[in-house]
Amino acid sequence: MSLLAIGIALAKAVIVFVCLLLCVAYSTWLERKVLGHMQVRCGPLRVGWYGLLQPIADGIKLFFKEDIVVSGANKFLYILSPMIVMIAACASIAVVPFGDYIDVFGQKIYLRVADVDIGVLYIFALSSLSVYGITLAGWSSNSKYALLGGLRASAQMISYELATGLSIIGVLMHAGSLRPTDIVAGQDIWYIVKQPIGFLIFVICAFAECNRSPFDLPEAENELVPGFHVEYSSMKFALFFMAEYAHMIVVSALAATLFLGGWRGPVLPGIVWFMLKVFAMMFFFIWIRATYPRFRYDQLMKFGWKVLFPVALLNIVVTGIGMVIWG
Amino acid sequence: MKEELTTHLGDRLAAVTEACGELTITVLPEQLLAVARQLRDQEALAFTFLSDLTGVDCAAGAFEVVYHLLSMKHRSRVRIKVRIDRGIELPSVAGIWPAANWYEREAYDLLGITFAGHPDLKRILTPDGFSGHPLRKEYPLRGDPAQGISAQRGEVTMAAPIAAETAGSEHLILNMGPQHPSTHGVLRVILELDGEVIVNAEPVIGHLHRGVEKLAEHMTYNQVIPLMDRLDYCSPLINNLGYVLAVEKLLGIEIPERAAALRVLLSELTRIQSHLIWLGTHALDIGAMSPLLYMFREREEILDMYEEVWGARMHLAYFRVGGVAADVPKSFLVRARKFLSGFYEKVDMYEALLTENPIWKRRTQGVGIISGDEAIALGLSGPGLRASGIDWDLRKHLPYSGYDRPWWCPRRKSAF
Repeated sequence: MSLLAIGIALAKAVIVFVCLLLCVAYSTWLERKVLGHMQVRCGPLRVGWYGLLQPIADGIKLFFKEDIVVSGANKFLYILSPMIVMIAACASIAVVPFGDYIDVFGQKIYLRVADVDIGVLYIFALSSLSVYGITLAGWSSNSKYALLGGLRASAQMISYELATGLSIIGVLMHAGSLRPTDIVAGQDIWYIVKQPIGFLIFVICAFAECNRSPFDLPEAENELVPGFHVEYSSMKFALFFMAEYAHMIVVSALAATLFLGGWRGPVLPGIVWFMLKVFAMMFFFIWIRATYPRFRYDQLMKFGWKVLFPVALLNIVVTGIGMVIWG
Repeated sequence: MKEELTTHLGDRLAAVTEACGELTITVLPEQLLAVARQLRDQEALAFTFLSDLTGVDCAAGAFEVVYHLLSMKHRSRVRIKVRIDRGIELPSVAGIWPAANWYEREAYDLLGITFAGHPDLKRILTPDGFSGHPLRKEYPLRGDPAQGISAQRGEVTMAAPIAAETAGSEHLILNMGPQHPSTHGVLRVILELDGEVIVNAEPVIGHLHRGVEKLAEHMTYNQVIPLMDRLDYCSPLINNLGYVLAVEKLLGIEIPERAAALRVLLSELTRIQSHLIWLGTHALDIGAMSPLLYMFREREEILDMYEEVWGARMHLAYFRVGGVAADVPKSFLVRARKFLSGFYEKVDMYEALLTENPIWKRRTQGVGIISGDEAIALGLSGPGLRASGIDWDLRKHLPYSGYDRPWWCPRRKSAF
């Protein structure tokens, strides 16, 4: 590998990481703004034009908060767990293709950090890792509320991971590959058309995987105060918070790649199409939060195992039969 | 009702008196249980509902315990009064009216009256480690300095629950409150959890107790009205109404028709805004965030109307003994009419967000059912009682303050 190639790879990694963090910061702004307008309020208004500098102000505030380690906590795990969550969420973005390629001084630069042939599997593996972060955070905090949140999170995320994995099998069968670029290339017709049920299950599970309403039980503030991160302060808390949004962005990007044709679209450049699709998904996340109450724990488990899981299985069978009949 | 009482209970009663249209029977302590049982079980009496139990410190070393009874069947009320000397036990009526359980604990806590045969006679409102009985006349109004600040404020002890947890049980004891996102106001509940299931819950309800009775004893009748606002700050005027009606009854005052109508109008607006807060916070507690803010928007309009009527937005103290503080401005009626005509639409929206929402239905249907009989035995009242399937609305069945006048005609979509 030439020095230039290494330089390009490094630059891509840094740019993508910085962009992801910016997107995370501004999705908090988006969430507060959209939620505000849906709830007859204004959302942030004071810091900057339309509150646009609010995420930066929040970041500075969180940096200067006292960093507390609660007494009786398992210090090693207590500090480790927010890192696990954040790293898992950020590293997943590496295999997502944002566009095709651009020409810079005769150099073809592909718009993705890495083109891994098992990219989809890689994302799933990393998102499973983040469960450890949340569970360990709940367990190591020496707090009953956090423990309950951590337990809920592990049960919920493991249950829903299964249905998520099954829901995309249909797409993989159509594409015949786990490489994200191949999947995008295969979508002359978006897979959402061929796999509507798969998409539906994927989105529902995505809500549960990201601990978003109506599946936000691990951090149900009306029951568990804020759940697994109740004992965290300052940037350690912020890491959980950022990881949640990063996770949402990754899941939205995954949905766009797998079901919505990735970067492909007419007229506009690929990266614009990709961002549009990701933010449409993000808006959907927020919209649902403004609309629905939360499931109860037993209902959540029942829904995952007795509804989503069998439907996802059935979807695979139906897809298989369809592919045999219509080729 | 007076004749029925004397025919059925004649020889057991020390006296039957009627004052201000209210019926009171006096019995001796040893007759109490027999009389109570008969009052509840006799078909012609059927006083199945204990609405309140209060203690009175009569000085001269005596207490009077007053049982306020309601017969839904015959739509009438009666009071039992029992006089005892200090230090003498009274038999508990918790076996006859389960509602008496907490009331007797309250009388024990605040006055030091002991009830023999009570299932769990311990303090209920004052903090752990408190000694003395604040509603006794000799107890100082500003508190007992000898007790020290910590005992009066109450140090929250977790000793008992923690002991239960370490006793080898698999259950988890979780302390919820007094400060917790879903305890609006301050309420502490000690929960015993089996995984995600609550197997036992012990509420600690005294955190909001302010000793209004003690304060009121040291004031004139008019000075008490602002205290009544604060009993339930979500529905200030309705508490005002209850108080001024009682004083007016004692003094035999008739109020002008317009004042009565204004009281009903403002009470019902208060009821709407109070119910909005309830529904909104309830939805918030199960994770639906938006309805609360929509309901606060509507509540805001009612608070604006309050402001137009009498300046304040929450603690109005607008009702007075003998009427209301002032007439309402003309613009108020225009505003009220406009609000009410638009409100049905809003209710439809709440229905769409909550009662037609599958998740909300799953969370609420079939949860915590209280049967009609249980509800009456436990002294449940208002919407809670009606939700248990009991057709009982004081405004309809024992009308007061103008709810029996022709201009009061409730529109109700679904009745019993």
